[in-house]
Amino acid sequence: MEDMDDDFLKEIINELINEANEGLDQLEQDLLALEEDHEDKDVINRIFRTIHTIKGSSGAVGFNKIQNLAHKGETLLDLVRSDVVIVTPELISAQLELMDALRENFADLEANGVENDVDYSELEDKLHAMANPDATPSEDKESAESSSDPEETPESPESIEENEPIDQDSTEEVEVEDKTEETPNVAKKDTPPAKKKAESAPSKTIKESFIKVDVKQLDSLMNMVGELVLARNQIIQQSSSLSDDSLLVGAAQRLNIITSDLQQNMMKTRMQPVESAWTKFPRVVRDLCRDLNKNINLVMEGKETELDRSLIEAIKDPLMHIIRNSCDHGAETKEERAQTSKPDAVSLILRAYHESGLVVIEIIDDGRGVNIEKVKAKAVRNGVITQAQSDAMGEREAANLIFNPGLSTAEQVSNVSGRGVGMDVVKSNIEKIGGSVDLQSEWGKGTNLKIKIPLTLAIIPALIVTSAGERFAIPQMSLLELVRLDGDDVEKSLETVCGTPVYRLRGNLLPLVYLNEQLKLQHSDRDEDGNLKPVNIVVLQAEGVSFGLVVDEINDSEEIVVKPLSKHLKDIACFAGATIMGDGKVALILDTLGIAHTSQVLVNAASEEMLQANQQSTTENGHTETLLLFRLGESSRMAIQLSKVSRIEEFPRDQIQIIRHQSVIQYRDQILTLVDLANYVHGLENVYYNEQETVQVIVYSVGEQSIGIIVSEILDIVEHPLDVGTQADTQGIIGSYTINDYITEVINAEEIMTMVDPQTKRRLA
Amino acid sequence: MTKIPLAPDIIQGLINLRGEIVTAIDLRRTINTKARNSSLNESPMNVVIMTDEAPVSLLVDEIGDVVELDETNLEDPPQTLHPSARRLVDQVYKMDDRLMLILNVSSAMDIDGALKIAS
Repeated sequence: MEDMDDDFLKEIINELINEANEGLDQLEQDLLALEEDHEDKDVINRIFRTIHTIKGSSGAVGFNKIQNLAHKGETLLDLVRSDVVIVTPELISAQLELMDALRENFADLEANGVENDVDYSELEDKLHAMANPDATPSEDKESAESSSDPEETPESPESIEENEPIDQDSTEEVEVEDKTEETPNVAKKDTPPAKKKAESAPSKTIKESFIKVDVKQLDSLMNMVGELVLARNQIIQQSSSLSDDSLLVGAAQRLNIITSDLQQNMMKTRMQPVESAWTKFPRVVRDLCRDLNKNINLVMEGKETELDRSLIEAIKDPLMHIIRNSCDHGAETKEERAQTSKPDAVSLILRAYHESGLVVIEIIDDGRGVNIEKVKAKAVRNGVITQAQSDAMGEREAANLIFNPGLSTAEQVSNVSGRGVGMDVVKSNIEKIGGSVDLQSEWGKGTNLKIKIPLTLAIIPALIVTSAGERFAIPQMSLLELVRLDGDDVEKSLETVCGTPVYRLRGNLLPLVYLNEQLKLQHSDRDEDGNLKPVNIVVLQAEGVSFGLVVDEINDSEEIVVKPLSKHLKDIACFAGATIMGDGKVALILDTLGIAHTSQVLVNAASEEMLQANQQSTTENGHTETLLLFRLGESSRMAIQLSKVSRIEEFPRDQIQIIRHQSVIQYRDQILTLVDLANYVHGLENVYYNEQETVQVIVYSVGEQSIGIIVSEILDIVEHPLDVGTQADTQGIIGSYTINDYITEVINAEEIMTMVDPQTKRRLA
Repeated sequence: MTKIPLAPDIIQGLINLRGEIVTAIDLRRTINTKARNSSLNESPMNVVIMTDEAPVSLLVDEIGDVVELDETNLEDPPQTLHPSARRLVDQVYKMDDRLMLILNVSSAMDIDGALKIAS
């Protein structure tokens, strides 16, 4: 092996790792299938073959540890194959464990080029023990097991004999066996060798009609097709303007058709069945079932539904999250389930299909469903919606509240299995790839989660707009409608709410965002003659909130090839990528979600709605602030400006520690100082939380620095002007105001922060 | 060249190089000399460098010559060099009449590092 060329060896090892990983994926599925049906000979044989191949090829390149590990599993499987050992859940578990060990080894092999030095002797012993039940008692056991299946009895002794050389670990023998069994064949014991060859023939032809292609190669082909599409666009533009040359027009048309076909076929080659994103799920569900004492029956439908490979990667994690959630929250435990009229096993259906150019993935369970009332109550408590909004909210809308970031807390995100959790992350990840999520649930009946994603991301339809002389592309999928205001309409229809421009779109207030301002480009709303320029509003939607993006000009709709921005530019949230236009120039692609965030449309969405509700009072009182009302101690009503609140958290009391007379808690890998306001502001009530299970905390952050203000109860969110009222001269208090008929003191978060940590002042300065 | 709003000054824009989108970095900015005077018809040259991820273009005033270097005339820059210059200068080449600096390409493209020095 030493004289083997280094690159060549590396190539072989990479090939081996690829093959092994594929094999292990298959193996996992097969083992789970075997657990379902212990008698399925095809599956047993396939499992045996796969692990045998892994063993053989690792041995051939000199990875003895992997070879030995695989060998232990193979020995056991061979006994299963010949019905000497019966399939038990423990056996499956041990085999799965072995697979994990192998996977780990191959991962290390890939990373470091050598086998790892983890000690697997425990696992090896386990497998060995299962393969060699103690000499004398096992004989009885084996015959007892075999006799339960009388047909197979005569085979047992034969197969034991056959396995003897393997048990002795005689490598030569194994090598010989390698050769005879190399053919990917359903090697049944009673099949004569001649027949083996015949059977292997058809599978070979299938293999020959497929080739493996490097993904990079596909990507670069895709890029080139993208270029071709652009070149075609240019030629078509030119040929139509020189339309008297019929030859050119004809050729351009043919080019057009061929390019479109090529593009479509190219897309197809990048398509992968959605199954490849699902392979891990049966195992996850199985393991969760064992851990959580649940009985869940996972059914996967439409595995063959195809979508672009980049999307497969993108949906893997969100789907995993949803599946885990379903198992953890949706599914009842065995005991709970027994009390319902539903079947014993919770049915969890994962279904994929194509629908009007989109891929739809549904995750349906018949578990306990989402408790809408509870979700609503939590949303109100966390200030995501008001009580009035909650009352008016339909079931479906309310169920979708679980995707709101305000409803999942940090404490929950850290939990591995997830508890209600991070669903906002799931949603934003799906939306990032242009998809949407919808949840329907009935309490006690189950949950239906529907994800819709586009087929591909590489080429998308986009609207081209111009601002300050630069062209920008807006992905069509976030586009709702276009509005153009001309002449007198400009002055009449554009209104402001506290300086924020809005437009009345069919009676609803649409917040306006000026692209020029967002991108800090030159901007003037009048032309050279001093007349008001017409206003073009692109109505966009991001995370369910719509807003109007004002641009200088709306040009055209085009298919664009999305190209990523270099790492230097990744930080600019407003851009999703770049594309090359028909004239060869580069145009930036706007990120609707990013613009919604940087322009505060999304952050303020909740308060915006409040703003609309309270608009009457707003216009009367001039400048208002959105305040979060809370109760301190028995009866004190206090408030803090909502703009100062980073998060509202609920911590279990027993997680709070006292360090140097200061309450602190572990929060997002940091230590968060918990502040009892009474210790800093003279005359306030202490919060006694010793009786409570949980403590409500308002988190206020400046840069890296955060403090948590302990409150007794979060009450409401209101709009109130801060200039009418008694300004206080107590440090830490802005003033006291009459809000909802109660005297309410508004705290000054910055001052409190500097009192808690005097260093912040310096930092702030 | 397409300008990128909100991007740091060092990044001049994006160019289309045979179908690939290349980020152009102004070398004048990275080495902290005064900005190019665009009115004086000083149009910059693109020196495109392949990196592991994507090609990057360094904008320079002028392309001089292609020369072969004699390794014996290469020397490390003196320790007294200002830190901001140190990160950009790999080595010094002693020519007959003057010194030539060998640019450390990877730190020339390191925007974050450049911004840190600038501030």
